[in-house]
Amino acid sequence: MKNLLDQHFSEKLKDLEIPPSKRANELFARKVNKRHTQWKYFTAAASVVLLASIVYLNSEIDDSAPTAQQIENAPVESAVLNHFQEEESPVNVKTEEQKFIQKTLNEPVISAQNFSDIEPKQEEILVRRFSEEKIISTQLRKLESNLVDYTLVDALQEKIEIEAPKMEVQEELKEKKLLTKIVEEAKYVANGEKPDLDRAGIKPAATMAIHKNGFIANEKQQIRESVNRIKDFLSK
Amino acid sequence: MTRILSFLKNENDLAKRLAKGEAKAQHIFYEKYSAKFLGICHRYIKDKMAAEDIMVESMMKIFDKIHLYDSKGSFEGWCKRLVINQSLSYLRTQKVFEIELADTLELNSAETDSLETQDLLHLIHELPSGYRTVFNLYAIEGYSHAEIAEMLQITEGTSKSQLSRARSFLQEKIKKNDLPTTSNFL
Repeated sequence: MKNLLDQHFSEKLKDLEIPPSKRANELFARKVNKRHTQWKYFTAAASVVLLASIVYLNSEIDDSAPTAQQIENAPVESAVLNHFQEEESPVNVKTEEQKFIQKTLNEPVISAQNFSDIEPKQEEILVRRFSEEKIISTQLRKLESNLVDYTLVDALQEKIEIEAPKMEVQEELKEKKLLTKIVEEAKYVANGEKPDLDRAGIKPAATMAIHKNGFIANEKQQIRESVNRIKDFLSK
Repeated sequence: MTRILSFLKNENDLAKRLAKGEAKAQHIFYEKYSAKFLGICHRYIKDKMAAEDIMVESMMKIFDKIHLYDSKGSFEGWCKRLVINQSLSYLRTQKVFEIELADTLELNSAETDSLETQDLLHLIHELPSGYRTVFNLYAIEGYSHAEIAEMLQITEGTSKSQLSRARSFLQEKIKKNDLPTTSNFL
């Protein structure tokens, strides 16, 4: 059996209501507004960081992939040419050849009548020069024949194929992780929690700039679509 | 029945909107419950300004922890529990559990029936903070001594003795008819 005193106090005071003062009302309004302002600033900051990251990544991807004009203007480069580049360029070969011819023309003609009179040293020089000339001509002929069917597109294709494999696997994994993190963070936001870049492990644009080769060109569209979906979801 | 169902629906709907962080829902919640929660806080905290501060803090705590409400029990009951805990947290920084010896007096119902709500509130405020806390939790909120001991980190024996002394104090005050002539609670 409940104590009479307890019962009396309970009946009278259990549902006691005291209207709050103006000071309390203002205090509440101030605290609620502060919470929502902080939330808006945080959301705006997070959106800016995300957009900046996307813009930066887009510019990186665009820079790495050659445009049509760049392809057209690109100098001809290939392993074939590089093979001869160490020794002499076609231009240098011709120039030297021309020089040699010019030099020979300038020298006095040695007739067959006088051939026996030629000193052995001079004979050696002539033989050496003739063999050098032959080598250069052979190289030039080879170069020309190899280049007949070799076009600009082939040169660029060869370059892309050499460079592309470096970026494949690791960048895919990194990209998938970022997308997963963004989607997971969106779930927290949907539950009423504030987004947390640290929790999601999403680095700001300045940090991502260090890993500038983190994404490959053919994943650009996937990232754009994911970000647009998340933005639509957050705006609801 | 329809009114009860509609009330329940409104309560759960309000809880859901609070969970989404809607500012409008937060203002509606304040308008609906601020007076009731202030009544609870003021029963524990004698100073009205401090009680208002704790009431507002309790509201913020409810908004922060709304995701923990599982929709199983009463939403109002869940909120009240948070308000009481917030009041007790404040008292922990302030309280001194005082033990006074007093003779136990017998009261008849006629003496207590004549007392108004404000008179009873005044009597509660006259109690030392330790007595007041235990009396509120046991006599008005309906907690057991075991629960009070856990909440206040005291023994059940201390809870019982505090309650006994609170009753004695109140009885003495009522007997002496020591009541306020003017009310300063509003």
